[in-house]
Amino acid sequence: MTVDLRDLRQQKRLLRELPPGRRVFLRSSGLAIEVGREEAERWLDERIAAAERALRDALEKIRAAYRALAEADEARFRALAAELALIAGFVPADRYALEALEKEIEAQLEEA
Amino acid sequence: MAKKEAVTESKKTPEEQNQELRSLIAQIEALRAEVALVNQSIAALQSTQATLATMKELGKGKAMLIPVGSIVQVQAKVEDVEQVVIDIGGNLSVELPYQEALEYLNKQLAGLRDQRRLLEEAIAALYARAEDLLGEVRGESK
Repeated sequence: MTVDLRDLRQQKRLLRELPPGRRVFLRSSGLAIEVGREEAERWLDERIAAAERALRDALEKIRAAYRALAEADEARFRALAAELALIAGFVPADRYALEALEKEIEAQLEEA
Repeated sequence: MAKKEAVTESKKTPEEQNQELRSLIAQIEALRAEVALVNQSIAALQSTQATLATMKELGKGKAMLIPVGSIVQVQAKVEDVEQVVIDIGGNLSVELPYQEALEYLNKQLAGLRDQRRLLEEAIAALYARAEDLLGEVRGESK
């Protein structure tokens, strides 16, 4: 998965468990900028919220892809599969791949 | 009668069986690619552990070469190996004492090995399903 809520939540846990006084850096364009912990947490919260939105959007697309398959609308299915690949990290080529992706996304969202 | 119809409905056509088989093969290939990536990450972390241990052993003040770009290196002296900055993902890095950094690396390695085991189990399950499917296809073609 290109978008992985589990990783982001794990990063947030790690950040929260850090004893006080540990320095935190935000990397950008090859630079590491020292930031406060609250700032780092805010940064992660924003990324978590964005990932959740992206996964919910992907679920909608999966449902639309099922419909496209049922209606034998191949062009629509291919367009949706290409969009889903940005989140999944692979192109879901058929119903079985869609089912596996749907299961994984639902599991990630339920773990919140 | 209704039961018989249900059984007939659930039986897959040769085209559906072929489609499922192709999908299983594609999933196996994708999982294998993932295993290769996990193996790369394991190797990279092991190499990091070895480098950290060597730096610690050599101690403060030791001269070393730092890569600047792909073909240039500059000389530098090690100031402090007691504090290590570790990338925790999401573009964030945190400063950890040497020992905690090693523990973090060990945890990461354990996680990656678990992930590899799960992927290998998933591949084995997909293989088993593919074998069953092939058996069904061969049985029907006789």
